[in-house]
Amino acid sequence: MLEATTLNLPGTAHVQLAPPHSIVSIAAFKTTEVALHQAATLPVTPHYVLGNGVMFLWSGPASWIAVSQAPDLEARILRAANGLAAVTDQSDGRTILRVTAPVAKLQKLVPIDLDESAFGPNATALTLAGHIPMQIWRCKNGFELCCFRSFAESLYHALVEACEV
Amino acid sequence: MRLSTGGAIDRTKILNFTFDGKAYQGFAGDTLASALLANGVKLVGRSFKYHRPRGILSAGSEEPNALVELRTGAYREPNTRATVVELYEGLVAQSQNRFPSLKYDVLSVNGLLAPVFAAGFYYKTFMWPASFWEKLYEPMIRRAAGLGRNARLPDPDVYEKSTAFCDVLVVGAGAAGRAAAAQAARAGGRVILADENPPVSGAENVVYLPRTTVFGVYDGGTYGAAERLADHLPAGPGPRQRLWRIVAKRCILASGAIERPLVFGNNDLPGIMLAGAVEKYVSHYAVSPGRNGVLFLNNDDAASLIPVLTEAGINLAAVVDSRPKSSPAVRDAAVEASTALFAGSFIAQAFGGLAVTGVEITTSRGQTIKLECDFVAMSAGWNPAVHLTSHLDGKPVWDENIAAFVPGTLPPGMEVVGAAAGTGLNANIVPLWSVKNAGAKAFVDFQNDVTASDITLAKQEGFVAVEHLKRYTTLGMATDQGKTANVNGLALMAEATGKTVPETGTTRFRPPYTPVAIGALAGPHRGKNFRPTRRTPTHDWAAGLGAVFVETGLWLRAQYFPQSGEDWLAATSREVNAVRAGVGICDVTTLGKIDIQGPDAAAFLESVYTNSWANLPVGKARYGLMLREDGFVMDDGTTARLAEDHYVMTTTTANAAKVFQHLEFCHQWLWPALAVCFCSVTDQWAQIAVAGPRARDTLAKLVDPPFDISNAAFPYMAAAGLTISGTPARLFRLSFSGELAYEIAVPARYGAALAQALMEAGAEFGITPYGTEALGVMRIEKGHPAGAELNGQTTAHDLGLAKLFSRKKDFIGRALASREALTDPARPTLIGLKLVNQGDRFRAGAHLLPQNVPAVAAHDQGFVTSVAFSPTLGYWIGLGLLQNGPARLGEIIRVYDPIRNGDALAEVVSPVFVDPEGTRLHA
Repeated sequence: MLEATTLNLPGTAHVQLAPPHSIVSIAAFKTTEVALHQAATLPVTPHYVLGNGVMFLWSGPASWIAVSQAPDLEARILRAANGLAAVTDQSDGRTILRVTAPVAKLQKLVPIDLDESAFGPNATALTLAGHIPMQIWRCKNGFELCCFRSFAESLYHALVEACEV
Repeated sequence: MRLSTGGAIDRTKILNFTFDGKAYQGFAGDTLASALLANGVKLVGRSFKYHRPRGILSAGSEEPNALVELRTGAYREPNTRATVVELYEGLVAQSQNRFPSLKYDVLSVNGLLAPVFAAGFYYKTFMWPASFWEKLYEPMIRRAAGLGRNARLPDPDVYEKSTAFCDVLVVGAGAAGRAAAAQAARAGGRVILADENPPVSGAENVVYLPRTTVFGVYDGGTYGAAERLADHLPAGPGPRQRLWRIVAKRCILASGAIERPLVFGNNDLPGIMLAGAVEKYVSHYAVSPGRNGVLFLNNDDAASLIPVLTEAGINLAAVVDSRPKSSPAVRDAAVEASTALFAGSFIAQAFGGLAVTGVEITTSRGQTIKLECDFVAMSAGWNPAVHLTSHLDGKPVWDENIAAFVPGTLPPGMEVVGAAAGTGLNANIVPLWSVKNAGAKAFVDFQNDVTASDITLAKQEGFVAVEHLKRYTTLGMATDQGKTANVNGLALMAEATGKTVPETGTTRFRPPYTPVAIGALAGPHRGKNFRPTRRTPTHDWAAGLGAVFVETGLWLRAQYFPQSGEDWLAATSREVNAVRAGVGICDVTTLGKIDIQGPDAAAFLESVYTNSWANLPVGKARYGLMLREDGFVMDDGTTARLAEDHYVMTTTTANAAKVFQHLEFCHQWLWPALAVCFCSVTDQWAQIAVAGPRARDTLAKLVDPPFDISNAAFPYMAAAGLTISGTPARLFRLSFSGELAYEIAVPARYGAALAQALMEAGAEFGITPYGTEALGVMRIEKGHPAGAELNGQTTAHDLGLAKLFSRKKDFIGRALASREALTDPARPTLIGLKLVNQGDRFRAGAHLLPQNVPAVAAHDQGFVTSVAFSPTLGYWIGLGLLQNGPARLGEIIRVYDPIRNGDALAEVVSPVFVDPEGTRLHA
């Protein structure tokens, strides 16, 4: 294999680059959407479900992303989807950053209500961090933010400025 | 002067400050205004137009007069209201709008020209002679205009922004606000209490934001607020202010009320103040504005000042009550204080030079009495602070009982309590909008120098509608938004026109309630952080080779790779030569890549592209042209078919997001039944162009067997998946440069390694990295339209691409593209340009005209879109759009560039300068 490059984003007290994950985009076809929901339990509201080491997060109408530390996720999902959905690898297209700062710090960048009363344990949202589009969900001790890889450095610097000051 | 006892200031903490270079002292808890008054400083500014001496009018953020420049150097802030500046050690403030000094202001001569400077004077003056405007009048007016001066240096302060959510936002921490916040907290839920003043005690279970002005109401229960974190401290490293976007389910407005001045002659002299302000200075700051005052009122509320003055040992020479019989409350207070009461009387005018020295009272019997005094407290009643209620276009409503506007229609979720709702205000008020026959200028809007006679003038000239009154006189248009002026002004217009106040109406209040620093609105998004930056997978690799980068939208792309001593032109020319002679690599990751899957993918492509797609075999790519609905070209790219129902579309870098949105729109709105999905894979795949006669030889060393990269097995426009050193990859045989070329894609984490591997494999062939400049030169040499030609105003016909319109199917833009005007050959159409004098150069943007006609717009026949120095040919070449272009090959035309002093002759040629037969592509 060619050598893989990791983004040079050193961890700080409250912001870390998550280790590489498999990320796969799943989008239901209009004609097979019903069949897809019969075949798999996929959230239809902005939440995620967790099972067998794979997190399925709602990512828009009839769209999801699957996130896992397991390799070969795309192949497994392709088999499971069995032609009922468009499956696209996003393992290199997206970067995940973990934030363990108090919510008030993150609210400097994120314009939706992240309080537990509004953004519960399995919640996810497609929103912005400053000017960078990203998907956010709760994880242990904090939040994970997933953005396009090319924005990762900008997102990292924005988070460090917001959370470490 | 400072009173020896009382007040909420901390007399143990002495603070040193300067005003206009002179040193003074105050106490912690003072504002700059209270400290100046304590030091006997009454003159703090010069008015806008007439440069009249001005003093402190109020004790709050409604202050129109006491505007100072705070701090120095890059921190200097103009138009700061001294009444809200919290005093700190080492504070430096300067007065504004005077030269050479506050006491001796040269421009006070403007006062002599008062008749000239009446309202609207600039509509009638500075017109003759016309030639004087640019060199004399305009610069003069610019110098005279404005009050404070901006620092004109980058703002060194740091600002923050944040969003907060709550169930109840309470605006104003006075009695009504605190009570409302406490009640909301007891009911549970998140409560925020914001107040523009410094902190008093906190509140339980409430997020208390002191020094925070809620400046605006916006849609969706969203409120803007500015928190002053460090304005009251010497300059330091932390954030100075924080801008809040507060999203609240409910808002309780407890913003209180603002007192109205009375309008009488010379009511703007320093020492003439609002009665409520005098009371606040005496009781809260232990400061007296003078030793001997007069109180002028038309309501009972102002009577509360009388015992306060008595207790502080300040003499009140008289109470002047405009109400015919005064009132029991005022009578009793006057008796208690042993002060003379003049009922049914008015102050006709005040006297003084740089401060008030006395007043002339007209009694109910018509007598004139002159009284000496060194301060005047005036009250025409209170206006509920309804501003926030009207930010979403609600109109306040006139309450005749209290002669004031109260909130009318409220923004959704808002309720109003306390004085802001008109509760407990203006007891027994009898409106007095101005004292007639004042005998001297009587001011309505202090900050913009608008007098009662200006309002009469406006009426005379026909500007009676309240919106016209505002703009003609500039009443209410200063930085204080006319907080102490608007109601007096429109009530005077109502009187002048014989209408009622409700019939006259009000103008709109718009955010911000008080000025907000632009730095706060920007927060962290300044300088390089104004927008995010997107980096390609080979960014660091290219930087390591000394690449110079260019911003393309949010992306940074390697522009050229200079070797020592090379400028951009030398580097670019070397790169182009290296590609055409051997092989080069260029990162093309930024071009949009859209993964398209589904049984109806082909049908969808047929509808969005002008040409045919259903017949594209698996394993092939094709150039696609995409139009807007109106028939103009939107974007182009190549789309490859990787499997039966699987395509990858490419777009230009600039239009990647726009095309994605377009596809989603078409699917969701136009053809929702189609089974097709889109996914952006621009970031997923690092993509590198490998171009030049040795491109195949280079790649052959890297592709894993059994992949066959020969010309027969992988011809022009082929596409396939394969592996490179075991890494999954995609290979496309596409060419933007016109050379034998490929684009190779690997998952982004391997991008840098791929670039490195290509350089090693191609080293024996002289492989050279090339950037966007060389990319641009080569596509211009080949006559490929790019961004400069796909400018949103060109059609397929203009670009010579009309042959790509399929006749067998409908597609977006087909109908409107066939409009006669869009296929008229007289439209500027794509051609190439070659200068007659080959040593010359020309620039994109130059216009194309026939020879021997005047260079005027009427003869304009087109313009130059792209220009490059062609190292392949050895001279500058260009592409352009010329009327009837293709029919004029060989003609000599004029390339005219008056802005950059260019004027040359050029031959119209085919846009394809290099390898017109395209033999290299198919090598």
